[in-house]
Amino acid sequence: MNDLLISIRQAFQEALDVDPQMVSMDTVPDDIPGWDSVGHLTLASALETILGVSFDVDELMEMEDVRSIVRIVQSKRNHS
Amino acid sequence: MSSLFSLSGKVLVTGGTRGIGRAISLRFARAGAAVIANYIRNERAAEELTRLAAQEGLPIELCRADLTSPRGLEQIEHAVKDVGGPLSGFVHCAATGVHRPFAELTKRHLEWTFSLNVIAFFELMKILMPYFSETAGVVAVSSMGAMRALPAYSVVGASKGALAALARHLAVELAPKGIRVNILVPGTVLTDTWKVLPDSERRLAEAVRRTPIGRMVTPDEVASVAQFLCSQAASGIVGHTLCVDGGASIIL
Repeated sequence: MNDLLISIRQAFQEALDVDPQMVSMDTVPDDIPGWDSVGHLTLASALETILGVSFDVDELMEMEDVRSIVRIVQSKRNHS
Repeated sequence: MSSLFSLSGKVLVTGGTRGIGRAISLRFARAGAAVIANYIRNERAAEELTRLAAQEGLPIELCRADLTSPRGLEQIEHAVKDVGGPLSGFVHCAATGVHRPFAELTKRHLEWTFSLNVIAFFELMKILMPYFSETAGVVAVSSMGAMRALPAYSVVGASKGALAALARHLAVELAPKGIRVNILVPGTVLTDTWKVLPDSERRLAEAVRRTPIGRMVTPDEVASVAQFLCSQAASGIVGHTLCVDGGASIIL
């Protein structure tokens, strides 16, 4: 879990130029400048690259906050 | 006092709580429409819009819905049913996209972008058809990237081109039913979206330099044209692409 959150923080930093320390399990879009519909896809691309996963459109929209990002990525890892 | 530019009934504005969409929601409500402002991600902006609407006594209802999902589309339909009055307008302002050079793009980026920018518009038009009033205005908010090449914009530009083409064809099919569909192309407008676009400072400065009016267009200037297109004043305008760009697109 800790490694996953670290990777997610890296994605936020690369995609949205965010201080990784701003990102926690409780982070929601309102907490992050630039995490809008465009920023969301930029973030998703960065997550794919860093985590080595692929998101379909449904998963993209389920990623409403950091907690759901973790859930979706963990689910993909469990099924791979 | 009504005028040719007044609005009435209810209007759905997707992406209606931030940037250009927010300006459209406010302008349309001030012009007389009851607005259903859709959003998905930013609660704070949605709440701020609600507070402002309450202060001014404007009829703006929020509808949080993911337009790329069946559930979200159902939520939109319920919201349209819940707000009284005929559906006199629909402005598709919600948009997204992956801004990368072609070498870094994948088919999934295309699918992600098209799902909101094009397919959601198609799905919403299908859903809204039974609710449109005898005369209604639909505006598809496109982009300069639908007509010109911009850096790292191929997927978004392609989606906006598809959106504009779809809107144009619907304009012909739906005009006999009293539904006028038009396309609105904002020029460079300073919104929060620029914060995540690559090389934004330089591109914004260049855009201003290339704009005859010497500044960026404001969200409210775009909203004014959206209002015009949905109003009786534009009753003879069908399938047209209207650029609100301060003259930038005519510069060679």
